[in-house]
Amino acid sequence: MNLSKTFSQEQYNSFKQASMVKQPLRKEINLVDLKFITIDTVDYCGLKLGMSKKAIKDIMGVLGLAQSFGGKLNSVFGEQFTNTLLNTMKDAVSKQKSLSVTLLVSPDRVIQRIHKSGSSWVSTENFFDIVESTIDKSNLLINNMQHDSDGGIIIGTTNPNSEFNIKGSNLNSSQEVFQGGLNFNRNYAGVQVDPFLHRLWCTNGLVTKEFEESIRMSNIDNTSWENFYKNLEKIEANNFQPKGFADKVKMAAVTPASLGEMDRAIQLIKRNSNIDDNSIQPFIPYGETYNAFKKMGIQPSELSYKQKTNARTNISVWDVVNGITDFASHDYGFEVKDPENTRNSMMVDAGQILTKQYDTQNLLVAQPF
Amino acid sequence: MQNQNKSARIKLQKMSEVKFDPKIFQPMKTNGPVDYLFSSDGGFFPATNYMLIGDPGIGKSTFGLDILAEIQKNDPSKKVLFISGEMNQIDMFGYCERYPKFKEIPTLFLCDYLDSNPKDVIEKTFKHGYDIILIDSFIEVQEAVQSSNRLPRTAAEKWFIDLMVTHNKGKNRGKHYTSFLAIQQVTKGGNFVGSNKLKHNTTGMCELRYSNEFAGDRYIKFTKNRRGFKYEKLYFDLENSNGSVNYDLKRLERDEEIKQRISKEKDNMLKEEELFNMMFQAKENIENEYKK
Repeated sequence: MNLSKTFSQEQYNSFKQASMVKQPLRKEINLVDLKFITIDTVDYCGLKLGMSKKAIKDIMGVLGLAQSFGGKLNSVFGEQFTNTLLNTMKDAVSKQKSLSVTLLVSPDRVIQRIHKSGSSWVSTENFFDIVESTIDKSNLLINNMQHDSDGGIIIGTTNPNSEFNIKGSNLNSSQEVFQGGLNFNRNYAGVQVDPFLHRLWCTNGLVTKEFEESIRMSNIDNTSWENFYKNLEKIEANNFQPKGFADKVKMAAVTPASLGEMDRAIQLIKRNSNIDDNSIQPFIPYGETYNAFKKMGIQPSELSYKQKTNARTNISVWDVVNGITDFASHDYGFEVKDPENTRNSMMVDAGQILTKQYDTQNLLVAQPF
Repeated sequence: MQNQNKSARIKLQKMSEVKFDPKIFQPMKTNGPVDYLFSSDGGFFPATNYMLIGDPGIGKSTFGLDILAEIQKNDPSKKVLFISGEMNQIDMFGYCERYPKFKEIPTLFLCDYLDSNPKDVIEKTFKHGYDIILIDSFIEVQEAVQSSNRLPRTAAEKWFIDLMVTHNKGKNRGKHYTSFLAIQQVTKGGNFVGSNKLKHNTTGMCELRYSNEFAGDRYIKFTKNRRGFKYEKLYFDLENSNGSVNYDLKRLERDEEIKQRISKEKDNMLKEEELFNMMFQAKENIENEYKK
């Protein structure tokens, strides 16, 4: 099933309403007022609040501890000592720096995130205002709307008038027709807007964060807003085609993917679904490559990661990118885990593979010694 | 010292007893966004005095002349005058090649009268009656009078301020309630140069500055304006000049939008804080509040 569709006004309105209700609340507090009851429950002035895993990581960061430490504390020190340790450290840190933090608390009384004051969270209302005004100004159509548990919101859009095609060697120009758009993402770090590319031939979606057109607004001040709007204008002026995108596609089409890149794509698909090895083949045709290596007496599975990045496959980087976006953009019945978040993040991963330096780009095949 | 010995006649006034010609309250318009910097009603009010300060080379003269030209174009009955204390006719001619609309602005070149009596020349010129006069610059006029008429600096300044006030009140041919736009020097620290008397007689202070945020961008900002203003900053450029100052309307619109967004974000934060505080109450109450 092709997941790309255009949403109606009614669907959008109900999504917006649901986002408003899910919106975490911001509350600036003195860190010293937060008391650990357990590692994932705190007391704030008599109010019991849960802590999400991410919030625990955040507080570890605020206290100057390794973020991964949070998960190990209980098993190493035991619950009681852990709480005493955290409260002592917290009091010491907050007294020393008179530290205030902003809590993001979801309506079910769980702290989703904690960050040092100077909020970078943009309210749901303002986020939707930005999305709506951009959609109206640039005649965009919404084709993706998602929430995540942190209160994050993703809205993907395309501009139907922004069609362009890319011609080049190893590229069939009738297939390489794209529609540009914008992917709006409101998360803990602020608002991020990235170019979104919709490949019309196979209706695959791709989110690119590495081109200069990606915009992040992490502070609510005049300069950040002004920068944000200036960049937005730049994208619109280029008819939603990121500068350098066509060159990247042309290069990806003529550059053989490495075994490392092929494996990265396979693992990405496997990790996020219940797909078996055989069913991956239509997305990432690894069989021929693996067999060819085996015939030479090389077991691909026994190669180190570094070795894999130096081994060429018989498919291009562009094939790898399209394999991932094909899987992410369609429901082939492989039970994608947490589909609302996963599909978008797979499109982002595909964008990263496209925009990074390719493993075999500078590979010297023939060597004299 | 002289002032301290003078006993002033004290006269208290109620505005209900004062009458003014309604013409004083009809703004002169350029029909551009700059109107809303000079007053919240939009336009340059008669009988007002604005000081224009700014970074060197930013375009103070061009900005001032553009206002004069647009006011005249918009209402040809308005009489405008430019007093050039810095440029001579040759400079001005070249300048007008770039900005042809300045060619029609009557100009008094102060350099022609430095050896005679600039004070007398200016007084006689003003008597013809003008609606708006651009002075480039206040200090040049003051120094010219100071040196040619051998007046102390404070006396020259007082003379010029009194002259401006006289014409503000319409004491000239045709009873024009003259408005003045005077370019003024600033100290190295960027502060206004002038006496308290000048400050008191100034309706507004207009600054032209380069932006720190985006290199090369220029903007106009009022740090004081007794007539109010709608816009905080107006960006402009002279580079893409079509013979006019180009005001960045898109950015103006955006700045207004940003202002609204920031204020909305502040309101939202307060609202969220209120909702958070409700967490100390029953869960159902919060859900109802959310739905609102």
